[in-house]
Amino acid sequence: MTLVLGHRTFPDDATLMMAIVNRTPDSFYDRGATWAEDLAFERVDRVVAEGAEIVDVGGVKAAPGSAVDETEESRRVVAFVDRVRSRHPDLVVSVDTWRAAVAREACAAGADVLNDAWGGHDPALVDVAARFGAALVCTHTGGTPPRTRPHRIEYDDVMASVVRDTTAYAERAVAAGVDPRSVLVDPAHDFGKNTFHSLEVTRRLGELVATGWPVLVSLSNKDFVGETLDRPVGERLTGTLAATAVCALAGARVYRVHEVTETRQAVDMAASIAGRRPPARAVRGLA
Amino acid sequence: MSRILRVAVLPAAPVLLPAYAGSVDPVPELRAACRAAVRWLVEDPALPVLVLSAAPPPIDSAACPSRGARLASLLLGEGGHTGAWSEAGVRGPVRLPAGKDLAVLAFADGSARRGEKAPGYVDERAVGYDRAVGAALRTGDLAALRGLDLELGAELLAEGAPVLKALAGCVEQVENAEVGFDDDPFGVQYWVAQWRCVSAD
Repeated sequence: MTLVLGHRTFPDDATLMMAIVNRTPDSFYDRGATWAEDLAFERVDRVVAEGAEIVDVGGVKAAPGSAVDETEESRRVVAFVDRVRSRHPDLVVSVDTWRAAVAREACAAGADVLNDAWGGHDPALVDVAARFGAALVCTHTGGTPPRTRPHRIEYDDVMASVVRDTTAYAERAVAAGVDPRSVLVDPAHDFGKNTFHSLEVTRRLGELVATGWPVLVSLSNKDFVGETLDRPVGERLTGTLAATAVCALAGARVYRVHEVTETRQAVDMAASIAGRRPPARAVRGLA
Repeated sequence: MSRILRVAVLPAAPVLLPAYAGSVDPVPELRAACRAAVRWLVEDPALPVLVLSAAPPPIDSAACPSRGARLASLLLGEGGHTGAWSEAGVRGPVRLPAGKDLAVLAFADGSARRGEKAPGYVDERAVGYDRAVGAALRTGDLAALRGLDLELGAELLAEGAPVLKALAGCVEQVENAEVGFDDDPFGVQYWVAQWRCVSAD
């Protein structure tokens, strides 16, 4: 399905890199590397140069930590969105927030996508997306509230829960007036899931792709990779890329990433193996 | 009148279950302590085992056995228990099978909010709460456990609070109490405790 992300439209065979840009002092991977606004801005320039089609700007770390209220989240995100919008007019700007109030200000500043990592916790978020013509990422959390870790959560069938909850959220968004071409679903690895759940969701991603909603995956350097390979944060790129390739083979469309160049190569390679993308240059045995 | 003769209190930690096993056991000491406690619990094979747990069922699942039942099945099997066992819920007063001597296997742990990396992050009340519960387990202080604040327990993600309160409500007297494991390796307080409640003689 054609993907409409704010002011940009992408054909149905396009895979997209969504580069993470944290406006936080405490996110797990970069630990405040782009907390200073100018450093965050430099990261945007860098990921654009690396080919990212989307940046995902977040003002609140996902894990529990220091409280960040709406005012502070807006302060971290909104002016920054405006600045990125001005500098990179073709770039799709996503904002990682679950709060409708923050989303409203971010959309007014030019955000194209609302990436709701917390599964529709704020019911008014769909109305903001509809009003501003923004795209919406509908994630699965198993009902866990924002900024909490999973604790002993179990499912009868985790993939069935993912498909049911994300498609219900997507349909709720469309009913609220969001363009159906602007709704993505995300199984949300690690969110409301232990490592076994995230591995199963990866293995069975094709079931979510089969719903017809474009699938976004956020795998980058997460705990399920670390636990599977027994690697700390900082040594999870190889595992991330392996999981990425599996998701790409299954047909995921958008990849939320720390490392753009490496992920792009993994996705392109998998897409070519799947027969969805021709090799860049093929002369071997062909001369 | 039923008499509870032995009690083992173990964590309700899913990490103990084979369905969640990696190639390296992240909790070898805890597992060893649990196995030892259950071996002791089932020394008399004629003693039926009553399992107490407050673990919620998996999402969407009506048919899947509770986590308490799965842990009990695993540990009782490993402990060589071939006799009867059953599970009781702890939402209300525990109904003991009439006229029997019993062993109780209670799955109860402390707060899951004991540090920044804990499942529930930090709650400054967690350490004090767990210290009090740990002391009650070590001394068999039934009054302290009967008086547990379940609301506070829920806020602290102490899944074991209602289990311990229910357990204390159906034990008459603890003659001897030991705690063989007392640690919080992942920010969740685990205990392995053994109580001898009434002389078996």
